[in-house]
Amino acid sequence: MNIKVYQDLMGANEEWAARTRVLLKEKGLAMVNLIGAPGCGKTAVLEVMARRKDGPRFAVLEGDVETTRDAERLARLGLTASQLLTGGACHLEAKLVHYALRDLPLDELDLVVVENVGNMVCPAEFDIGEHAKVAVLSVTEGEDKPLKYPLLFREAKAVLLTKTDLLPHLSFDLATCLKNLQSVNAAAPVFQMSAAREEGFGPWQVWLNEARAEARSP
Amino acid sequence: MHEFAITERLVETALRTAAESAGPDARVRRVRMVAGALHALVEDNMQMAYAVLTRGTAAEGSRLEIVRRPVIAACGGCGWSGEITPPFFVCPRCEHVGVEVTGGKELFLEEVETADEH
Repeated sequence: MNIKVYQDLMGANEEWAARTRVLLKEKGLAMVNLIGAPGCGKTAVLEVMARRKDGPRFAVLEGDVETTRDAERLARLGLTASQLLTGGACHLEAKLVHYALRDLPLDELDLVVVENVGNMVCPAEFDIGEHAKVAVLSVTEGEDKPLKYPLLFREAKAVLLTKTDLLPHLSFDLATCLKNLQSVNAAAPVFQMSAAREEGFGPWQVWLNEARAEARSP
Repeated sequence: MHEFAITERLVETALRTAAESAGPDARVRRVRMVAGALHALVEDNMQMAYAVLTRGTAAEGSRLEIVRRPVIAACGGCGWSGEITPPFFVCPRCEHVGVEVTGGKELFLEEVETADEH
């Protein structure tokens, strides 16, 4: 007996993502999902954002396989940060994010930043109800990363190019990297920044403020 | 290894479908899924996860078929539409970079075959 099914395999995840979108809409909150390799500087970007006063009020959902170190790092700066432990899984799924989101003081926030598990493949596959996936790429990783991980860079609504203070010491070809990004995704703005020098964060904060304004519009 | 999470849903859905359509004692013989080329799925990992996840179920020993679908894009610049090869999302006719992807993100269970009763 042959049974035709046509059942979407992301269905259950999508249901939780949809619930998250309803909750975010109700609270007028934006949510971005930072995705990048381990060590690309995701947490360092959040540390700088926590120190700046020109951006939205935000809390962080920290995805990691193990340890609460990143959440502790951010809590020391006065940020509300919840650690989500996947216990081995390489990505966050919508249900876990939804539960963690509900426990945040949502009425006191403009934005929730999800720092996904360090990985450029798996997190790109999963919708967690975010307004935007943001790809994080450091200049120490090589200019061909957008071509090697096209799904992530294709899905991203913005790209953070981090650690730019190291450019003088590397053979990294910035123009080629930007060209590669353009060929995978011509629409996403690229924000070049250095967390160590706290440079280049202004345009990124403006982008986040715009995302927040969009989330609040009816 | 997101393949494991996706295969988990595939096996759950296939087993539920078989039980609902062919009765609680139905054995699954073959499962076919469709995956667009934009999903970075390693077929060997899917097959391994499938073998592990079906063990001890009505689908143990069944065959998993994975049908890949190409990435299809439409160009807003010149109106071209057709198959493109990631990672280059560029129109092959006019080299416009902002092509819209219209196919290649599919991910679904298409068919379940159960063993005929004797």
